Amino acid sequence: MVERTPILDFFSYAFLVLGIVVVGFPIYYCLVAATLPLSEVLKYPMPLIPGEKLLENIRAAVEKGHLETQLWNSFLMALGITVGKISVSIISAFAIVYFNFRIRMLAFWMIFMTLMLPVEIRILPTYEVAANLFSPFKSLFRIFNLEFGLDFSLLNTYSGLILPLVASATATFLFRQFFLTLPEELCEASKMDGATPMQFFWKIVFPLSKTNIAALFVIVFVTGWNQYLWPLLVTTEPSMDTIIVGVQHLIPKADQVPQWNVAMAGALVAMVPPIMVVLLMQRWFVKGLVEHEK
Amino acid sequence: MSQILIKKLVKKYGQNQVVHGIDLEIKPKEFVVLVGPSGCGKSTTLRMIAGLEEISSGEIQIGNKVVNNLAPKDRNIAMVFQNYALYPHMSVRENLSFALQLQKMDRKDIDRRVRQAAEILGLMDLLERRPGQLSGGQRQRVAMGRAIVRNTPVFLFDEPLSNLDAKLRNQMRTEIKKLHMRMGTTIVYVTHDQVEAMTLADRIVVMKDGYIQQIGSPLEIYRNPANAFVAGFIGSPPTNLIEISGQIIGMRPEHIRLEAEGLSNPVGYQAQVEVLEPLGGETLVHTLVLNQKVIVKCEGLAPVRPSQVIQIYIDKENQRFFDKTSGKALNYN
Repeated sequence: MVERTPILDFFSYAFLVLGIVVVGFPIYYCLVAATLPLSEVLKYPMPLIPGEKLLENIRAAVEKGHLETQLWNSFLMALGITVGKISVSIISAFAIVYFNFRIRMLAFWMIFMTLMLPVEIRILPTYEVAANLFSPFKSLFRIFNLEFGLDFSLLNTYSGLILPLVASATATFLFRQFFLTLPEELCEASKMDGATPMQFFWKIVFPLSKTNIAALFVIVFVTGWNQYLWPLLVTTEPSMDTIIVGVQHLIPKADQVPQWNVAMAGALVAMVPPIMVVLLMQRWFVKGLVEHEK
Repeated sequence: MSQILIKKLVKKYGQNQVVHGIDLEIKPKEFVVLVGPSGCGKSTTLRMIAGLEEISSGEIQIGNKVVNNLAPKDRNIAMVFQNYALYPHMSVRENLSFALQLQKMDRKDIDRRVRQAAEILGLMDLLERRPGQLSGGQRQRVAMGRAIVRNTPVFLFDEPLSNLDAKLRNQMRTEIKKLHMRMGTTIVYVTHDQVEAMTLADRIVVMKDGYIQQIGSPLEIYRNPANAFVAGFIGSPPTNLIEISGQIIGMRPEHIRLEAEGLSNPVGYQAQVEVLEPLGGETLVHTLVLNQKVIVKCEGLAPVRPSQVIQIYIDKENQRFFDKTSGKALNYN
């Protein structure tokens, strides 16, 4: 299509540039701050030209905040949430779409309704259960004046960090919508070919979902990595801190030397893994999109 | 000996009954076409034979074995779907070998069968392509290939040509016919296109509203339609049905002439010409007889003009008479 709209073009680009500046400037500011020595970073206004102390600052941040443990913790948590979320939701969407069981619609609406509830709303009961997996049974038993003796706590464990964030209505819903776009005949053809339901899942549905899985992987990994409230609640030992919680410890308190350069270097370190995931998976997206075009 | 035997087959969706107890016997190597307008229950019947649809009551036997409660894969049948249902992420080779791999067949045997099927269908050069890189006709061939490699005695076709353009449809139609002659499998073929039914079938089953209207060879059905519906459905253009003195008279357009000459026992009607449709080799003359539409097919150009009043003639033996209320053929035996 040939269309000449110079004025519209100008405004489009102007908005684009404005948007990039608004989003990009804080990141640039953080980047610059992380490269400056302490004396420079405290100047007002802070210089906008990068200094040479980036590696030193990062080293200081890593030492001060034990970032290597925290990076590992964050990585395990984000990966666990991602893999768990995708596995649970793809298999439940598969059940809801391809099997005609009695409570199918009820199950779907139950899942769908929890879409409306963010983690923060159910955080107290969730904490209660994480603190003692058997607390629901305890309450049940208490109604009948009985004592339920078992305790099992997930506090300060990786399972405690990961499991409560694994169930996801959004991902289930997305997979359901995608499965509904697959022609019904694919399922019937595989039945004729003699595939069992799980063979149909692994050999047909799963490979066809790859692009969706890649997209979800990125989104879920980044949100998982950025979790703050839940890790803060469920872990008390420093060895279990995630990096997002850890960066907070780097921020100068009232009567400390205000080492903003070190804090910013820590923030940079915390930013790198999600960016890597986005960059790596983006190539997958593009590949998936191109193949769809044919 | 029958390959497929259907007894009192019924399909209900809740209270809504769509197939009303049909009986059908299909012999080995027979090519049977189920034909009828949409909603007549032909696809549902095929899907019950395939095992994709539950049987509400009645019985289906395949190869003398009751299959009512068998999964599709245990019925020894293969099926070709209307939209081909190829697995989009697999190459043609993988599509063809999928069923055999699931049977845990030996690698070498799979290769041999895939090559055989690909040779029959002219797919040898396309084995490594994905379905998305194939044309409609090629996809159709792959879909058939998927049935061929299974080496089952029965093939089911569910409107396999309706997604193709007219030219390709004619071409694939002859290919399916050749395939049947070569493989000698029993074929049950569903279509709403009566031309496909006439050209392909050994026997045609005409269905309407969940009932079988008539079963017979294409010529039997063409010459002796059991009722007015069959007469009006089979043939292109279909039989003219006009009501005269409490009877329905059926006349095939190709049997009607513009002059009485050459007819042994002519009956004449006065007709008013409405529209002419010249097709080159023949002309369709749309006329009104007693205010009812009658199409006349004449060879070459028709020497008539619109709004002209003419006489049309038909041999008495070529007329069919149907009961006005039941629609049943009166001279049907």
